[in-house]
Amino acid sequence: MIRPSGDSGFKVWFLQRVTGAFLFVMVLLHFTVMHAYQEGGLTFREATELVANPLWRAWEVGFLVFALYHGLAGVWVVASDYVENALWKSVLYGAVLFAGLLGLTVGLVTLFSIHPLP
Amino acid sequence: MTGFRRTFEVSYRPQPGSIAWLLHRLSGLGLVVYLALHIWTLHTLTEGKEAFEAHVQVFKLPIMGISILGLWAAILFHALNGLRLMLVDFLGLSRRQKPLLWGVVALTAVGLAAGGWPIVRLYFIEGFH
Repeated sequence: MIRPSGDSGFKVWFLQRVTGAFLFVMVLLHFTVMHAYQEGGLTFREATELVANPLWRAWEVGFLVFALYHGLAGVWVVASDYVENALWKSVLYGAVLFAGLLGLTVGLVTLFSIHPLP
Repeated sequence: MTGFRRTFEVSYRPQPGSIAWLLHRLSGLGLVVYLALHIWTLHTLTEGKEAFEAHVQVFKLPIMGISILGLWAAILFHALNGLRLMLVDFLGLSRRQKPLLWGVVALTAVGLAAGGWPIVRLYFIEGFH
């Protein structure tokens, strides 16, 4: 049965800081690479060529996981302040979990199914 | 009083720290919305070159330029304030949280000007290609 754990919230609190720190670095890198690689608009060629590099693609997968965790955990924390009923809280938890899995699936499908044109 | 209304009951005068807390939450929620849109639009890459580049044309509209500036401001503030929170939590700098906040605001303004100028120039002055 899906329900949030009964701890004091320490794990989420701590992981927000850890993922936040990683994301700070990742966003800087993402920004730099994206802007160094193209001027004024991303083309299909540039997007697919970047992701064709397995090292870069692995990085993007990590970025996606961290961003989804940090963002959705944040939504969970904020919404938890307003949802006090236990049943609705479980619904909220399930919704956040679902959104994370959905985002991860769509993102992974994108990253692994695009290839540069010959 | 429910939690929702409690948020807006201003029984204390808004302080820089509490305003920063609110902005951190708002920017965070905005960024989650952005993330969802970003994942979805990049998924259109799977539809092939023509479909993707048709979608990219939408991103050259002026409203997107304004949205990108808003996104940039949200990223800057949320990341820098997040850094401030970590300094306070882990280095115990809570006595200096206010000066740190002014630092965050200053760096956000500088970053917004530095990164925002190329966007303004591209969208509203030079135009694409």
